[in-house]
Amino acid sequence: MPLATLYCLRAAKAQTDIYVLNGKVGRKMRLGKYIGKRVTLAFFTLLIMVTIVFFMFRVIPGDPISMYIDQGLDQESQQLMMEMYGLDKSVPEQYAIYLKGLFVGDMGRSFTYSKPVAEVIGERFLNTLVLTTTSLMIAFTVGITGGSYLAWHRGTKLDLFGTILALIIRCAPVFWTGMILLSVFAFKLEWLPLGGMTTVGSDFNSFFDKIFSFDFLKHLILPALTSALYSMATPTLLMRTSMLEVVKEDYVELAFAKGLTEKQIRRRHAMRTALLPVVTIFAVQAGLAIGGSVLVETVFRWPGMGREIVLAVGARDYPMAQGAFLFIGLATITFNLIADILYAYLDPRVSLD
Amino acid sequence: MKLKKYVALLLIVLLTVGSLAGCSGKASEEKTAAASSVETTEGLDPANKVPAIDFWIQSQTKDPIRYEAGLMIAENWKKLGFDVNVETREWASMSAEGMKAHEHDVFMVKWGGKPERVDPYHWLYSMHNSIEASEGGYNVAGYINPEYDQLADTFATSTDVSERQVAAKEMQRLLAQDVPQPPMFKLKLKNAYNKTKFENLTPGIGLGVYSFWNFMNITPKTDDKILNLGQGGDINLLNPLATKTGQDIYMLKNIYDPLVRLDVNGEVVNWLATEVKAIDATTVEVSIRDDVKFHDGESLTVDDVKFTFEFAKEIKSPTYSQHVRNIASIDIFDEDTLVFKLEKPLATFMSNTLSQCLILPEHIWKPLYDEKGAEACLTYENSQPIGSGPFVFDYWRPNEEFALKANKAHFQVPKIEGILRTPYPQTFGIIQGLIAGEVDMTSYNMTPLDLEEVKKSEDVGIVELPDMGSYVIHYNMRKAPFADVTARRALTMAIPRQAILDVVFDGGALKTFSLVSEDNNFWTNQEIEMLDFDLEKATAELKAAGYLWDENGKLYYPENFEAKSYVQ
Repeated sequence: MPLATLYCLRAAKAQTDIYVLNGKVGRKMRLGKYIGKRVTLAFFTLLIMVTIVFFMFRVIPGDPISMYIDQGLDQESQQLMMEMYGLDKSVPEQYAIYLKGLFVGDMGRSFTYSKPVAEVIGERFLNTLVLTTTSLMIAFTVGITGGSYLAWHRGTKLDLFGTILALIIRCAPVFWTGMILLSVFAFKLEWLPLGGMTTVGSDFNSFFDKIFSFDFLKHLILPALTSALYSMATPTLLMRTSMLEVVKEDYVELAFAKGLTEKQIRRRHAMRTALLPVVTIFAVQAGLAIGGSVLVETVFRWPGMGREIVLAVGARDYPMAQGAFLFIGLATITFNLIADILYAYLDPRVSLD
Repeated sequence: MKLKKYVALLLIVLLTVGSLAGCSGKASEEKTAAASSVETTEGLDPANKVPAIDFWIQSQTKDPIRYEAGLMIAENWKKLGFDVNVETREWASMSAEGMKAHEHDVFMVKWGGKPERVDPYHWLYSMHNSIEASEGGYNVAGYINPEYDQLADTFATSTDVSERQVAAKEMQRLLAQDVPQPPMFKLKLKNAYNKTKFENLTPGIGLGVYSFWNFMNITPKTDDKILNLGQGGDINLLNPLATKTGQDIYMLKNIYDPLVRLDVNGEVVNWLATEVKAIDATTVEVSIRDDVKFHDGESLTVDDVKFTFEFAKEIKSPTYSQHVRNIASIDIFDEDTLVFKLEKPLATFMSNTLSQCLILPEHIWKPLYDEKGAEACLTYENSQPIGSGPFVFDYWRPNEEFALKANKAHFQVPKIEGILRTPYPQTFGIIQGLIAGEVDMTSYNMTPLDLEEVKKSEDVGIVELPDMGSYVIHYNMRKAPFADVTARRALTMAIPRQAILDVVFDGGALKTFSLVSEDNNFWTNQEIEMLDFDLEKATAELKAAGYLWDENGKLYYPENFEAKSYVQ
């Protein structure tokens, strides 16, 4: 992967240099302006999202206190708790406080944990990051090789079978895949653990100690596989389409004429060029994967962001839920922005206006 | 290309079958329920029609019991001539609009039988006296009966136990005939544990194996002396002043000590206190042990006790407020003795106040308060709680595991070396964990299906215990038709209790007619009216009160109808 990216960047650099030689120096400046515009746009998108999420939680029925009345919160306790959470203030006032906090990087304090939201997100996000990175790595490695292989053998039964399989897996709900894998590998065969990040009761000195242990690896396989299966289809199909375009190009034909082997042509010439759209979709997928971990984490008892969102929404922990949504929104928007900018930088045909 | 044709054909067939199934489902729902046995009247004034009932139930995935039972109840109410709209709701919205705002028509709640509810103050006083009928109060039904209020007052403030008992029994009798929010079922609780690894289980009233006494007495049989506890959700917050969930409080009760504790039967036993003496109705003298140390080595003294109650009142702790607001003053008498002065007499001062308030170390909380103020204390995360209890906080990785280890220096040392609590998002995880030996014990109530599943493992043992709580159906007396006692009685008699027991609970529950469980021998009154399933009697009572039925079997009020809120 890194090699491929490097290649793309190098190719693009060469192309830009050609433009400079042709006297089109303006593109670099316009690119700067273009980035500025995209960033401003992203900022406002985020602001709108924050506002919608804030009011959405105030509009949906329920509040963070009344669901505990039956556990022994009497009238006065409820009132005191409202004050403690700052919910006795009017909604516009709460909104103003929230926005003011956001601009200085304060997302508020979780009702449930009584901790700054950023801190909770920080803890959970590390866990999610390990899971998504692994699954994306699997998904894109298999997807890219698989996709190019299918394209190379286009029209054969293998191609048909591979494409249909990719589509079926893409359509299967992720929790369903997860439960099937669990029932086979954990319940029936007992090869892998039922869930969690480590064996219950195991103690580690640090986060890195933990994630480099064999025990952790065993716990990682099923959730990573489940979410990899789900995100595999996109790079596979994209790579296949992109390859189909590339193999028609003259230079591929030329490579054949030079007498290079099929493997050499596929790997060195065709695949590298075909990678460009896959690289950009990687950024988008990475953003989505962080938000999409909700189901996998719940099925596999993974203590990450996704599970936290489910808990926060269920408990009407407004600051926590708002913070989590903001974070996911931020991740998605940032990665999209990177993809946009990368594309504009790599491909001179992209209009900057 | 033949393949494509087949696929298309298959899709068409699937879609057709799917839409047909959808239609037929709707058709069977439209069932007019006419009470065939009653005489009907023609030309009734539509203005007098009994308004339709909105019945809130929980979704099938969240609570299959309340869902199925709700549907069966609604079916029978329709047979009486009521219009019923069943609506599935999430607990958060049901609790906000029903439990808190009291804007419901009718919904069902499973009230937990905690040990502090063995003294039926909660069931009889809080849930039914008129003061609690306002927004946020426990009197969800809005039951207002002056005769009852008078009894409730005696019950709440008298220090004479037999006088309280008489009042409690009379109150139960009134509730059973007025049915503002009748209890329907109580569970036969079944908890599971690993019997090859642990013995001497001591389940306590209300909490089952989650009871403090079980953590103290459960004894390991093997070298693995850590108890792996599998629970449905994680704990949230370790600040005893600000937490709102029972799960947190039960764990905090292992880390911190109260002055007295409620034993496995819910009776008060001394804990930090060596003696609790009522001098008069508003004065209580408490002597405490002199050999108790906090986990950081500092001694626990009368100053800490005085500080805890005054501090909680001062900073307005939501968790402590209901317990400490009635305390007028606390004076230190000598180095082991304090005197509590109460605002007004309170019968449950020992069983509720002293047992629920956990004693905090002054040397930790006072500097925090002096430095940062009340709000900082309430929002304090308390991530390394220092108490004096028989368990010491070890570590907590949220949504992963929470660990306590035994406090060997405590005046009562637990038999286990520690507790490791793991949250499972789904119950199947707990069950599979039990079978696999990953979970040693759970306070999750096993369903018949779960019991079948755990038979796979020979290591799993089951303890059975009675539930002190019950499934309660909350009518709203602020609204028609529930404002009228006849309607409420009829609706109650239309609850097919036996059928629900057989079908929904599969024998895992019992019928109950008083909120004070019949296992609560001292307080319960079983000589009360028991309105069991009887559609004929329900119809007869409605008829006697003047209710009418139209040609479709729908229920109408008579002209100039006046609702009676209770039986006079």
